[in-house]
Amino acid sequence: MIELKNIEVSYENKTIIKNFNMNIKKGEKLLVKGLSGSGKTTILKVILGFVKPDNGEIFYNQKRVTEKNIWEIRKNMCYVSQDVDFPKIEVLQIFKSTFNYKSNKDNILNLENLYLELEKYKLDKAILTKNVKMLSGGERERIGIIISKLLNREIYLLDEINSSLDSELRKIVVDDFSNSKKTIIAISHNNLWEETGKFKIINLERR
Amino acid sequence: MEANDISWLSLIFSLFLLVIPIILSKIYSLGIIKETFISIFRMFLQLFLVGLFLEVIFDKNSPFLTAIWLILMIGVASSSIIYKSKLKLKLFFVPVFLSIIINLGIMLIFFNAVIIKTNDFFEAKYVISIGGMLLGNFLKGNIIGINNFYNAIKEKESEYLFSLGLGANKNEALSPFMRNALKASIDPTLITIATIGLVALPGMMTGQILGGVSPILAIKYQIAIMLLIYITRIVGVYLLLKFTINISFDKYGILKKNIWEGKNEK
Repeated sequence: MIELKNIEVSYENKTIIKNFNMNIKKGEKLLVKGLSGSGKTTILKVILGFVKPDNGEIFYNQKRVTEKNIWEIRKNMCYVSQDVDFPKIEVLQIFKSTFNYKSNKDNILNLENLYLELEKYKLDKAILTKNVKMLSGGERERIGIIISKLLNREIYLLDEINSSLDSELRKIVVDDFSNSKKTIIAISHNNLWEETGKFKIINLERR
Repeated sequence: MEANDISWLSLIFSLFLLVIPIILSKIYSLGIIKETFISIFRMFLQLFLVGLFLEVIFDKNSPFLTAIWLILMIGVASSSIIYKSKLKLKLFFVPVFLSIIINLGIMLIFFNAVIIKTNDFFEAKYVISIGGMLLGNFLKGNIIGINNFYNAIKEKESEYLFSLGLGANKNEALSPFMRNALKASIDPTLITIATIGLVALPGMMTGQILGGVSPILAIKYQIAIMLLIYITRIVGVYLLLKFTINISFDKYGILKKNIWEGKNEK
């Protein structure tokens, strides 16, 4: 489904990623491990077209990713990062505005599902009327995860999404994603993902 | 009734008032003496030259000269907007210039044709004075707007990328940033409009009253001009952002790194 070939990325004359290859099929789950500074986040950003590699090619369903088709490809993906942040408005409005994007027009915000997800992630319904300003890092993180889940995309790119959660919530997040049929590329320091036994593992070295 | 003439001699006499800031500067070591003299000298020189030019331009009343003057003003305004926002002049001059000339052009035609109903669309007296006043006013709005927008995108990149990563197109992902920039730049104008006449008499009205115009006519002009100031301000920021977005984001929707003046920041 997604293939990276000989990717090389450098920033300010420093090579961050060199000769990186990866291939993930539909429904597969991949865990990218490595010390900080090894370029894990950069790999996700390359897939999303946020960072352009200096060398190498990216394929999506055997088609080369270009500036023209990247916008279509992004519509099949969902990217959640550890430092997820939103405009400073009411939480429910964040959900609404995301579902108002043209690319999500076939996707209707189902409040029943939203409430179920809130419960699963141990958030009170009252959070929906709070301003994003009032949320803690962990709450923002969970809201980000819930938005991404409700969007029901094919591919999930998860960047350290459980780093600001406590161990009980971490477990919930990991179980939730590893038991789904989605294609997932996750980045994480902690071992929970690996312990599920459902992830192929790529280890990055620091350069 | 005409305004009393001010003689050059009395203007020069009024320079003696500068003794007051000089004394204060000495007492509190404000260090503003040199700057005061430079600023005052510049003001004299600039206004004197402008006065001379305007005498000629109003006298000739030629559409060509008027247009040149207007374009010159817009050129200076464009570069000062870009300079203040620390963006690259070479990249941004054309979109900024276009956003101003379109906005100002339409509003001036509206003013001349609809509000004061002059037959001469290009009457130098109106085009230059009203144009200059509008320009001065939305210059501030543009600077606030463009600064607010680009700094926010730089600082809150993760917010923007998160929206893109959830399937937003560029406009959708940028719309919260647009909203903040528009609000930041028009809020001061709204406050000014709401308190006008109570807190301070606007300069144009004062000028007209001194020039012998009846207060009622002066307020009509003032109301018209305030409306135009408000409209040009919001349209100005909107066009400015729309036009510059095209050059400052790449085809993947990512803010280019080489848009800032000086060293390439992250």
